[in-house]
Amino acid sequence: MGIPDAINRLRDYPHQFSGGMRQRVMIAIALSCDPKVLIVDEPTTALDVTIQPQILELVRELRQKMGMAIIWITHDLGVIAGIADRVAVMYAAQIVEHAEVKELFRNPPHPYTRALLETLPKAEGQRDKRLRSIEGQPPNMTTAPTSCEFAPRCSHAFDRCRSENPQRISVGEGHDVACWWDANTGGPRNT
Amino acid sequence: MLPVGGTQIPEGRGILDDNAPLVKVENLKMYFPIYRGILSRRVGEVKAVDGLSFDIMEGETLGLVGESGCGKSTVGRALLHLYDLTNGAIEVNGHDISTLEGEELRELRPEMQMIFQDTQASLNPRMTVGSIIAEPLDEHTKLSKTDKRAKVGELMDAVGLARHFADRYPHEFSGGQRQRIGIARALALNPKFIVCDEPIAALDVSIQAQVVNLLEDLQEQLGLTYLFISHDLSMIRHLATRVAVMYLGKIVELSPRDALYEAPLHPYTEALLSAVPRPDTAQAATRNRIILKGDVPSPSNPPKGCNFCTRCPKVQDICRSLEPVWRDFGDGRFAACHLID
Repeated sequence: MGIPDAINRLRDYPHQFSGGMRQRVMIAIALSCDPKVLIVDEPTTALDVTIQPQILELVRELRQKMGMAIIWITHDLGVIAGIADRVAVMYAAQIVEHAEVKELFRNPPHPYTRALLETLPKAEGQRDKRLRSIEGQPPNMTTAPTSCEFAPRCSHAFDRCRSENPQRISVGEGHDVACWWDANTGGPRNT
Repeated sequence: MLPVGGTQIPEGRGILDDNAPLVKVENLKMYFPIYRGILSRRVGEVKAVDGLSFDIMEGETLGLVGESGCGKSTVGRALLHLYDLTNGAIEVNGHDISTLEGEELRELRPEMQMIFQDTQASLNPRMTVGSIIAEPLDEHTKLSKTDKRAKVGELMDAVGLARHFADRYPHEFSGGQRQRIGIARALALNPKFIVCDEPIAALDVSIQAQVVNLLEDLQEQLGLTYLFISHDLSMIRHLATRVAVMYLGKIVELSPRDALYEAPLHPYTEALLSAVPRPDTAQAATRNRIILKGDVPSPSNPPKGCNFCTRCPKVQDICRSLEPVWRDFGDGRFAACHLID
């Protein structure tokens, strides 16, 4: 697991470990019974920028060695780009888009995925004058959806989006999306 | 435009007058004592901030980045004299605030304000939004009740909150809206200088951009000067005019934004930049990432020589024995490292 001097540290308490080391302990616990699936919930969010890649590298190695599947839950698209094979984008309790990672970053048809990618400031290259922001607030999820939940914040929303909740349909190999708007034609989808 | 008084500065953002630093910091040190045992004897100290000197120009945004525990927030608080300084001189808008106390310091408070990271903790849950925003006015002005109400309304307009929210309580708002309340409160006294301590770190990704855009608009309209503390390097690149990188209580590099991101001088800056996850799959595969080994040493027991020598990928013998000096590399670039020519 990459904990230095591990044998001598077995008697230590969690507070004697740093954040990155504590996360390694958590991973050790999770892996102790040889799981087939590992679910990691924002494992790097609370860690520092320089510690994050250490944990990413560790999990990547372990995946290779142990051949397990990983569900990586995160809000950080940068982490996803580095580690995932496939990505499912969630909004208000539903998966709105699902694709292979390269496909998703190259060509996201769902307006929410697009907006997510656009709101991020770039770490290099041309610097944006002003950040794109998604206006409005995430929805209240106490009632069942009768329309597309993203419609109030969506720049492409039209009548159907406000009256009918879209189901996921396939738009390519291993790529499906829940949206009434067709990114290819720039108009309503023909279904 | 915000009609909240007459302290508007005509210059826009990014136009720097090199002769007019608004904030001057000289050899700032902030040590926190460690007490142990039943007699509470002083056994050491945490050198949270250890000898910083820098200026913040009028109308600019100075980005302050570093890992948690490196002392960024302590710098922000010390600049407003919220701590008793161990050493150092701080000048804000021509007043040396490091020696002032009590009433004299209080009189200068309107000029410098702070926006906090944790909106849950920094807004009193038992006060309405209107009274939270009006509190600085109660404290520092003699406005009549109607004038105060009018001003609170103007402030709420300026930060994009509907005026009828004034009678509600903080828990009725989302994180982004609460941060707007905090910003309105900070603006109430027409400050010149605002310390933004990770104002967006606790917000949802889709809301961060809204708050950042608001902060930028306000800066342009009111000629504000920001110290923007963050660990998010991409956001700092978007916002800052110049960037200071901190490691273990010291600034290791201070450069204009573009220069810093294009060609970092200090090995720590380089490692930090390479660690930023990029939302780009093509790059993720090809990039050469510098993965730093180990953890940040404890600030109560910093290593001998350069603070970064325990993790630096380029470390030499000299780094372990001699502390590097702060050097000027021209074009407004400064760094402290033995290995830069």
